[in-house]
Amino acid sequence: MTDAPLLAVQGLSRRFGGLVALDDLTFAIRQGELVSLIGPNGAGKTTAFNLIAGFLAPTSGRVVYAGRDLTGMAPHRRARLGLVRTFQQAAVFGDQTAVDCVVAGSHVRAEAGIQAGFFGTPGARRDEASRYEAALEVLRLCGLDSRATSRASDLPYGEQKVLGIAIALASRPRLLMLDEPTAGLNAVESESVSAILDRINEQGVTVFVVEHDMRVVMGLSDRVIVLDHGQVIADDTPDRVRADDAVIRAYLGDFDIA
Amino acid sequence: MSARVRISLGLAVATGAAAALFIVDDAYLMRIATLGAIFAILALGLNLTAGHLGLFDFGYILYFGIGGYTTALLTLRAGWSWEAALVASVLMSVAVGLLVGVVVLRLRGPYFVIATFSFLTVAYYVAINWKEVTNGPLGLIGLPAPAFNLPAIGRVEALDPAGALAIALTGLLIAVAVVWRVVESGAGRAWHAIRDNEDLAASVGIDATAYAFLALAVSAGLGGLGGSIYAGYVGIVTPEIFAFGHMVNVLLMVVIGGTGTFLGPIVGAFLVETVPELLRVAESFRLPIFGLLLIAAILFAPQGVVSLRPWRALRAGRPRVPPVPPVEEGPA
Repeated sequence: MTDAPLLAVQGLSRRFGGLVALDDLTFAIRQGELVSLIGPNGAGKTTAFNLIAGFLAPTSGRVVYAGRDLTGMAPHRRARLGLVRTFQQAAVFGDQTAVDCVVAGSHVRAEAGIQAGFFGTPGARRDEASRYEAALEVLRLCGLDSRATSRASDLPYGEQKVLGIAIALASRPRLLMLDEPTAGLNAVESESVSAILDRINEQGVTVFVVEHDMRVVMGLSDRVIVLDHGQVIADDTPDRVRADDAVIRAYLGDFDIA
Repeated sequence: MSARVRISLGLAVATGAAAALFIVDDAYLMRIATLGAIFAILALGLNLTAGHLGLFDFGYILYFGIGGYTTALLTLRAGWSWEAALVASVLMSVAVGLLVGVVVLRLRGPYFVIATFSFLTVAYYVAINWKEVTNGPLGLIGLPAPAFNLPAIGRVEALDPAGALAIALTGLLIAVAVVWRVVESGAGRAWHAIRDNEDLAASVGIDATAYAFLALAVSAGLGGLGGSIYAGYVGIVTPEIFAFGHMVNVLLMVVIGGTGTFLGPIVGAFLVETVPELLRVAESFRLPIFGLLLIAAILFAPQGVVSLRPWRALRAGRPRVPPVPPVEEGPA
């Protein structure tokens, strides 16, 4: 069982009307890996994320996570199993403070139930306090501790994106899927996001990331999966992918070198 | 000022106001306060969905009517006591709320608004046309007034203005306690997460559907509670209990008071019940003036009156200070 992948995507396809967004996608991610998913615009990266996280239903194929077939399972149930995704646009609970956002992210980690909370049992209070402490810890890990009491929607875009990662982390994912975590960030912010991803991965979280910034991809990944026109065209180490003819063609177009 | 001090202060003010009403013992004032308390229960209920969950239930008065009709039918036709009918009314409203939820909670935004409003409209026409049960437009008349003997207090009767006020305030107190505990239970946090970003909430494992049903069920139960007290108080239930005018009033209470706040709906309910009465001196200009005041409230306190500065200063324990004029910018 130890060799079984944490995530296995098997023959996943998705059509939008006549458009084939994903065509028989198959790949696997092992526990503890940091894998990047790259590909030109429209290759189907975000669609793949939506299918794996359960935000879209596949036309055919299946997603197996920790030995379980997830077909038809709602996103929040997948999250409870530790399969958590972030969004391409900064996604936060805008009306709440940063620390409250992160506490909300730890909702599934609440030990005491709603009934205990209703009656304000000591267990429920301890639980609330420990989730708050944990949230501050996550904010520290992400370098946002000085922003704990700022309203999320008042934060600059880059910090909102990092807060989105913090919210996801608070749910204690086993597989964290990040959709373009550095898109729209400047070089310094990108740098700190990749440092955060590295740290998360070191702590044992399997990381699967859609990324455009090649420096981030090449510097960070154990493995790179390349999508083009809804199909996997390469799945290998960063160095080998960089030298792959099919990948170069996908990015630069088909041409003959004279 | 800590939350504990704030809550104690709020309770003291509320207790003082209620005590003053009972001491002054003016039937007219007590009638306004009674209606204020009943509608505060409804405003608290609507605020759970509209404020905390972020779904505007435009047919919320449905549960008010269901509570009213259940109470009327059980007391008049089945000879139940009002207290028993009240419990049944709350349960009935919750049941109807869950059934309505099966349809409306699949919808969001304007579709949710239209669907909830449609259910209210259907209920209105059912009440008019199902004459065998509802007695049609004439309604059900002559509900026995709630009355009980309480140890140490004596006889409480809804026919007596002070008794009615005591019953309504007890109902409000129950509603406040329920709303406070449910919001604090962790459900409040989940609702706010769903309200602010439903996909993000789902991505971290929050079951939006289950929490939406919880909000709707509690909200419907409070509607039923308000409807049952109202029916016992006025002694008559007609299809007009489903009237859109009530819906607008409760919406105004929530919005004017402060959507998604704890105190807002209560403050809003008493304001919306009281201000038109104060404006009676303006005679036929009463309602136009009230309309202008509402527009002013929305312009100057878009987050509700509980978000206003003097109120905030009081809450934060700061002395009341006039607002600081904005600093002039640009070259002097």
